[in-house]
Amino acid sequence: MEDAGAPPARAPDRPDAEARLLAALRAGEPRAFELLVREHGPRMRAAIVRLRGPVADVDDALQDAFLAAFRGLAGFEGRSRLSTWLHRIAVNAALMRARARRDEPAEDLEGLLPQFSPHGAFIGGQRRWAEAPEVELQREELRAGVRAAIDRLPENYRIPLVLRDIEGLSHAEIAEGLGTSVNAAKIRVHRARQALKTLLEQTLPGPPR
Amino acid sequence: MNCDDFRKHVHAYYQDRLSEAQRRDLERHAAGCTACGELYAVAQQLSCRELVEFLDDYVEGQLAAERLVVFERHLSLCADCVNFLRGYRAAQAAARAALGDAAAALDVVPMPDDLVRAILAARRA
Repeated sequence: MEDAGAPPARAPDRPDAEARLLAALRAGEPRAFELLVREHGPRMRAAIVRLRGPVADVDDALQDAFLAAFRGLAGFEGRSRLSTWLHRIAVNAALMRARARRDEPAEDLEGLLPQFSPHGAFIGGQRRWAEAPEVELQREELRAGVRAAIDRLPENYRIPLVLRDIEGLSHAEIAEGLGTSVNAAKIRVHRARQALKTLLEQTLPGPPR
Repeated sequence: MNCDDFRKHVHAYYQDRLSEAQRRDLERHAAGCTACGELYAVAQQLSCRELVEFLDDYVEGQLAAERLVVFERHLSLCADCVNFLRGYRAAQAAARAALGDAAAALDVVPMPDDLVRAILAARRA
């Protein structure tokens, strides 16, 4: 009897524990499924949120991901860690949900990209940035401001940015996930970074330096 | 116009902020001065707009050597592009700092029981 209200069983923390969990899942033991969901759900959910931001259907995407994982268990060969495999499934489920929104007009980056003169020079000059702002950006108190800036990116730019700069996917992999051409994926990543730069300039308390 | 004037005004030139007379002065100086003429030629080879267009290839180390040298030359002359590049790299670093694995670990919260129940019920359905 599956009882989600029961205290969770001990989490597997060693490769042999993972092998036992897999065997139990393949044998269809109900407690094994609950353990999988409780153990891996939180990280999968966090992966979906960081990809898509504060959207309403995060839990639906997570459910999609688990159902895909349950279906795919027989084909999981253990070449990667279970957590790595589940992470990839969660990202795919989030992308499928995002693609389902495609009928809605894609938002653009009006006002967030640089403007140039007919000669191709910046109009209005550029804000000064410190030589290595990366160090400052590690500061915990800036993290919330950066998150807020990222949350303001339209989803059709946020997702390519996260896939490239956080998940480390290639442009070809991003294109496949988004159902676009490789060039379109590359352009979206590039524009998203430029837009985030502008948003950081608007929201962070003075250029980090 | 001397070389100092040229360096002072060349950016305004590309931003279309000079008068017609100033433009002619600047172009005349570039035509007669080897060093400033070289600066002028580099700027003609690659504008700020073009530099930004290929900045992703630059930061990812994907530029061909022929273009890379022109890029580096432009960056050595253009404070705007240097700042744009720093801001661009900062945006990448900011995203990693805010959403990277270390940060994401803070977002990991236990699964609500009703969500666990819903997922397990969907499996049985």
